[in-house]
Amino acid sequence: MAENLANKEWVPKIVAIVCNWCTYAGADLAGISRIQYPPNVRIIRVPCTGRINPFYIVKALQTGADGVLVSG
Amino acid sequence: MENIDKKLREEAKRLLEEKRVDVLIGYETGTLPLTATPCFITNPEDAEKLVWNAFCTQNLAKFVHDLVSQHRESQKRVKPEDRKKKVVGVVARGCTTRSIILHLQERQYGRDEVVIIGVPCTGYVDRKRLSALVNGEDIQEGAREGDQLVVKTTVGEKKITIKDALAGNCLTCRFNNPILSDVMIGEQAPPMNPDQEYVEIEAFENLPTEERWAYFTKEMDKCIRCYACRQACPSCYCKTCFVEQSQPQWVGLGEDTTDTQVFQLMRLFHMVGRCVDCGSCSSVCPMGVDLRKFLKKIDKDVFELFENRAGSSMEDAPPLSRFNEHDKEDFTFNP
Amino acid sequence: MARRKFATLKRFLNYIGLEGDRTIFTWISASEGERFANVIKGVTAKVRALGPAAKLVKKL
Repeated sequence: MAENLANKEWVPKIVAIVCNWCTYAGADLAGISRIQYPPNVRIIRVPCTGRINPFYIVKALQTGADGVLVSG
Repeated sequence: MENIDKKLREEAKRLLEEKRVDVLIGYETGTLPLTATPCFITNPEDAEKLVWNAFCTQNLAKFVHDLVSQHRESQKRVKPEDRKKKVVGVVARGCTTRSIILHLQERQYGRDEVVIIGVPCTGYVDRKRLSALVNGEDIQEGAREGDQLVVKTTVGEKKITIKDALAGNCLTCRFNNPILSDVMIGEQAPPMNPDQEYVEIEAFENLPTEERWAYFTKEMDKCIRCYACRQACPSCYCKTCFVEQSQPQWVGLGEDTTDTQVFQLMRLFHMVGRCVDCGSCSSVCPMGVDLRKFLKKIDKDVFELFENRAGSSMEDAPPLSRFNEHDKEDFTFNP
Repeated sequence: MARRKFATLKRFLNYIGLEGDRTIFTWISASEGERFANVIKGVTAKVRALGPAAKLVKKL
């Protein structure tokens, strides 16, 4: 698995921690409207941006995310 | 100094005799030369042990919190009508009172549960600096003579100006007199040098990213994860610290360097608007990790962004417990 | 309050030497599908420019 990945071109792994009521719905709308965007984000839905512990961001970086997007 | 010691003992004795406090936390002479150690006094006669000098290092607010919360825990098994209140007396300098204010603001105990004996502070001697000044030789005897310390080591006697041995946080201290006190002992201490507070931080900010990262990793590599910093910190009072939580496990317990970095990073980050710059963490660190370099940055950011200094007044609530619609938003990304 | 947390976190991570562009904060409302796509494009471009993360990453 790792070897296969190594041969491919590197794509950034991005973790997006998003609010259920704002950005998640926005992402949904982007999907419904069929707007193209890069496929390398992993979306984590939280009830509210206030729910995000700064630890989530640091932990994401520690466990191998190349970037973290927090959006409310 | 003698005078302050005398007044402090009298006051402590009076408070204990009048039963205004159940226990008094202060400093006594340590077992090693030129040290002082925290002590707990319940018997009025023992008040004679109390001292107040430039070797009193630890922030005693930590023990106030410990005693009050332990007492509350023990009262849970007592019938409601038989429950007793415990009043803790504490010898407090500027930073200790700031920590107490922070505890009060965070509703850790009531104002009636603590009696604060305020003492003026002209800074404490940093053991690591003192040790470096005598080239790491074993200190066998020592005494203070005015502005100088006469230190006797295995290789001979040396005179040290006390200012050279003061801890970094004391030299630029803004609050060296108690902010909140029930009894004030002695005269107000002369101000230190608060204008130079952020000089070190600004210099570090201007370094290139890679150098800052190199410094951070170098410092964190020293850390042996003994958690002494957390134990000594008056703001670290969670019953279960995130490092000990297993569900979820926030940080690995092994010796992985990134785990250590993440532990330190998060402990530092928990100090947003809560670090009173008492220097307890740095002074207890057995490996000499430069924690202050990072803590002071947090302090600086909080002041710049929210104009708050932790525990500087009872009215000024902790910055992360309130918000302002005009807070700066320049850090957000707008494509 | 969330904004305050992130403002200080971003500054702090930057200070210890993590690249500022690895942590990105933004606001997108439920009606902004277009903006969401643009943000993701922007973020991907920024992170791609930085290259793979090497700092703070745990090697398993």
